[in-house]
Amino acid sequence: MNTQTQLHKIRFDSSFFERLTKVADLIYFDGPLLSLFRDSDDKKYLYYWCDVEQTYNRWIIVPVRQLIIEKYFNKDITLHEIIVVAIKNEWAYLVDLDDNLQYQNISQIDLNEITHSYLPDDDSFYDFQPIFYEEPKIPIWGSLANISDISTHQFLERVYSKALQENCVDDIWLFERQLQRGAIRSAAALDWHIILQNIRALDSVAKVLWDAYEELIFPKKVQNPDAGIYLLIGNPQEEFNSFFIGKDFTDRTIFVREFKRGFLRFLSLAQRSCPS
Amino acid sequence: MPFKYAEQIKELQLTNCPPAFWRPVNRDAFRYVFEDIEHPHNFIPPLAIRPKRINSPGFHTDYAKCCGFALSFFNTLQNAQTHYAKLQKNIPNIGKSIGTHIATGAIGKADGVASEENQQTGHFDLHEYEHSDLKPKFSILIKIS
Repeated sequence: MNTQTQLHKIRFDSSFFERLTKVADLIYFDGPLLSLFRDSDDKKYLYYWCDVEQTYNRWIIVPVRQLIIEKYFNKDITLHEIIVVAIKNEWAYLVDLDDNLQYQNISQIDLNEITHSYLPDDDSFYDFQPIFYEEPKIPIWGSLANISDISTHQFLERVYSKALQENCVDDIWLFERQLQRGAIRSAAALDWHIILQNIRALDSVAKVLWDAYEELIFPKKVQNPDAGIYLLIGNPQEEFNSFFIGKDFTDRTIFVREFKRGFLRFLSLAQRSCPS
Repeated sequence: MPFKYAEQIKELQLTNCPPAFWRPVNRDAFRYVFEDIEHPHNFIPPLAIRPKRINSPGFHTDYAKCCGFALSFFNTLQNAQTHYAKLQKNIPNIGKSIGTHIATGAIGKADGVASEENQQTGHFDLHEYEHSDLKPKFSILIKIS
């Protein structure tokens, strides 16, 4: 099956390697073994490590479409297939990278001549944890807790106005969850989420959330001491951390400090150990 | 206690390396090695084997650079075998880079500080103290390639 039609041969002009930016390491052990790069036109390339000698590492470089990468992540296609198809279409190159990180001996790969040990197995479906190098977009999920007379929409409007005051409105995207007719509403449902666009806005976002709570929710605690805001953050590894304003936190300074600390620690969870 | 690669880490201005939450440990560990236990690469971290790799994209973050001065281990033989098999299926020549055998030995608290284990793979890393010498503590267990 030819899954990479409409791709073009790589033109190894002098600026080709300089134009590449690392997107992710897809396989890594004591160094990258399969990496995804993109060029300034957002064309993607896989670097596949296949051999080492005294003074150089040998890589196979193939152009690859985003769709193919997604299929590879979803285990719909193997690494073997990606590389073999690229070789058959004369898009794959062997490149030696020496100890001075100079590219040497660039040659097009011939399927009939390639060393068998340079190719992944037939069942080389993706089964690793990718390491992405571009800043992730971080969701903060939330819900009003034990509040009946303030709507989520009202609360988010207040968050928005506070974000304007804090000058961080461009750094956060607010999303309100729309329930469909007939949907079952659970007490634990999360009603909205914020996508933090810039980690530097974390301090401002914590303050904005607190100030919106203090203005809208806190006055209700006289009648309902359990009222508050439940926050949940999650990462691609499906690890979660929660914060309950009005219950776990009753002081703005402490909340802002702990939210930032918890958030940053949470982000670093992926770095508890080195990549493998 | 000073770390074995403290000079390189200082020269690279790597802060929080090794990370403050890494801890000294007493534990058995499993590591990929070459058949000859005396092979010069067996207990040397990747950036000490090839320092110029520091400039390659694989080590372009401070965290990756820091990891480049740590030694890789697994918590169990099975996890080490499983991960190797996965790597080899995708990269048949992997043995030429990381070794062809698994060695086992006991790491002590005087050897360095270890990361937490990766919950899925059982992989962890060790930043050795200056006077740590792991080679005499490890012996070849099985051939895997």
